[in-house]
Amino acid sequence: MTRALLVYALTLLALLLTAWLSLLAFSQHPLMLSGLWQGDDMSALIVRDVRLPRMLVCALVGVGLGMAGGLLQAVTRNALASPHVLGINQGAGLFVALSLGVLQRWQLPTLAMACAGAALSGALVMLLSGLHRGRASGVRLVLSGVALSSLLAAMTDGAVMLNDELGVSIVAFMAGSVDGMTWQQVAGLWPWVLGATLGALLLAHPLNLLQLGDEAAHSLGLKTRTVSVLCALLVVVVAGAVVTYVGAIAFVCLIVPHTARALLGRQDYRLVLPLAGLLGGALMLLSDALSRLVSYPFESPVGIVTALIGAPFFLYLTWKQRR
Amino acid sequence: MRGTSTHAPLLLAAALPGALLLTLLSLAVGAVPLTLQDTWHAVWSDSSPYSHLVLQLRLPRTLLAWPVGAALAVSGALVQGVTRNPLAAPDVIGVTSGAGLAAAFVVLVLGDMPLWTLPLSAFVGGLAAALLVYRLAWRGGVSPMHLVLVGVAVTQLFAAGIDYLASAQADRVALAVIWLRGSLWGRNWEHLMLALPLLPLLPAALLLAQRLNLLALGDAAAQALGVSVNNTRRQALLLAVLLASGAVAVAGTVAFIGLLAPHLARLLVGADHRRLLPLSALLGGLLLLLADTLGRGLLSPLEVPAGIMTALLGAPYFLYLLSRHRGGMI
Repeated sequence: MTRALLVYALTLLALLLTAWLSLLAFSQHPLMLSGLWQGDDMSALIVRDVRLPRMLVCALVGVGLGMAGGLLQAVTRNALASPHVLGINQGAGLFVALSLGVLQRWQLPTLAMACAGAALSGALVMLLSGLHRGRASGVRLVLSGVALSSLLAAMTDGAVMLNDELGVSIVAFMAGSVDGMTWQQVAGLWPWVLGATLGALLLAHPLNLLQLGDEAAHSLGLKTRTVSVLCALLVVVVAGAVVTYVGAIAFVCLIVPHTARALLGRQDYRLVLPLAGLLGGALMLLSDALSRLVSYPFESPVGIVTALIGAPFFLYLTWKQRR
Repeated sequence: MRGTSTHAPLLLAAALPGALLLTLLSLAVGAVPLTLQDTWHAVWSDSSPYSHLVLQLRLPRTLLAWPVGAALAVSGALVQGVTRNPLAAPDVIGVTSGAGLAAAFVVLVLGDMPLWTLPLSAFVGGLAAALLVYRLAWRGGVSPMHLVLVGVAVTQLFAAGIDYLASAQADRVALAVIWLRGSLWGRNWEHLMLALPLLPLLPAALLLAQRLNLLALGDAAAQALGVSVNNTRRQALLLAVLLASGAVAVAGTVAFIGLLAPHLARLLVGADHRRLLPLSALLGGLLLLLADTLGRGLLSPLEVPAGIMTALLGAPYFLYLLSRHRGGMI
């Protein structure tokens, strides 16, 4: 237990540090926290209206994605599963692109469309990999997911090109960008992330049982199907909300649960899921700060930074999978 | 082989007029649609008002589709033959994206470099990617699914790099799309010259055909029949990387042709590489030309990059192959 306490304390510290970085670091106008109460109006304005909502969106997205990744890995019992690798993000992205583009005249609610897309691609990848017929092999699940995502991404590109005035904004959107976030996005995002967090905490114990295998869990009185469906629902809602507000953020949901498990040294999801959320927040905040640094003075979409961090990690995981 | 040899001349006889017709069609389709008659006229006489459009803008693209598609397809056939893996292809095992990242670096970051540096850097990138994937997937042998899995991960890594380079060049989105998706957009006679060295490499693949046939019997059997297994494998992979990176250098990271074309060819003429390789080349060129023509024609005057069209065709086929693949080691 002391180890868990230590890990949580350090993670909170990391969260604060990265939040400070995300709030103040790498700005074209030098920002000083002291400037806020010494009457530096420019600093105060930038921090309050630009940086603070942006930081909060990053933290919320990170928490949501960390939880979602943990849930998905627990329920598929697959170390390589993540909404991005399995094409769930890309499905949501396609439906958002469609609702902003071709289907614009029907004024469909973007969030609902994103969730529908996420659910549809999740169901497809399950069918294709044979996950519904029992435990699919990890490799088959991942390869199906990757092929499905490349199909969905190609369709999204096609949909974007159908009305090219959207073009550039959607390019940044597909990579995931927190540029221009306002309090409106914070207000839109937090209920979903809070809901998903509560749901994940409630599901943590059943997920622990699920790790024993379907039959053992069943004999312990667990409704395995219900747990799986609820988990899938939470993942879909988080992925849909994140894609709607900031776009398809790659790999945060893959890295973070692994790190949480490794730090804690055990599989107990009651500890792993909250830690994954906090670590996800810290990773997103760090990526946000880095996204302003990597091609300073220009900004890169934050999703590209997470992809640059996450892809080597994904490679490492596949390398570890060899038998 | 099962008696399919009789099909080959028939197939060629049917394919040639089809290819010619498609070539003519690809010259006619685009933001300014022409009738076939106008197109024909523009090709043969200088007096036609469309001759600049057809000869300078569309003809190099149309011609370029052949060497690029053929190179990708033959590269795919070689990789599939060497690894005895139906899921393998230069784009699946990371070669295309490695070549794409290196070429994108030259174009987007270094800027005004002489054109010949493109294929060179693409080859270096492609070779590095192939070596990396093989090294990481190796454990006293390479299981087909694992090779593909590592290839996919390496592809994600390089794709993130290309994304980063492209995002820093937001003002040149059209150029970035070439490296992200693959497209023949804006390719001209100069690019066609760049693709010409691919042509002698295509028949070179045929020199390996007989040994690849023997390799299909298994390493031990091939060795017993006097094939130097490791040498053959090395030569074939090197050739595959050369072909794929040459194609990427001029048309970007076009996906799935290297997977699709050899499979189609195998369905038509069987597994004998002496027939499989030439037919793959033909089908690869045809597929890319078709993808480019459709991409220009479907939503004209907008243009969908050829790479998107090939992904729309190829990704479902890859999923189908995956669902059928029941090999061990997974």
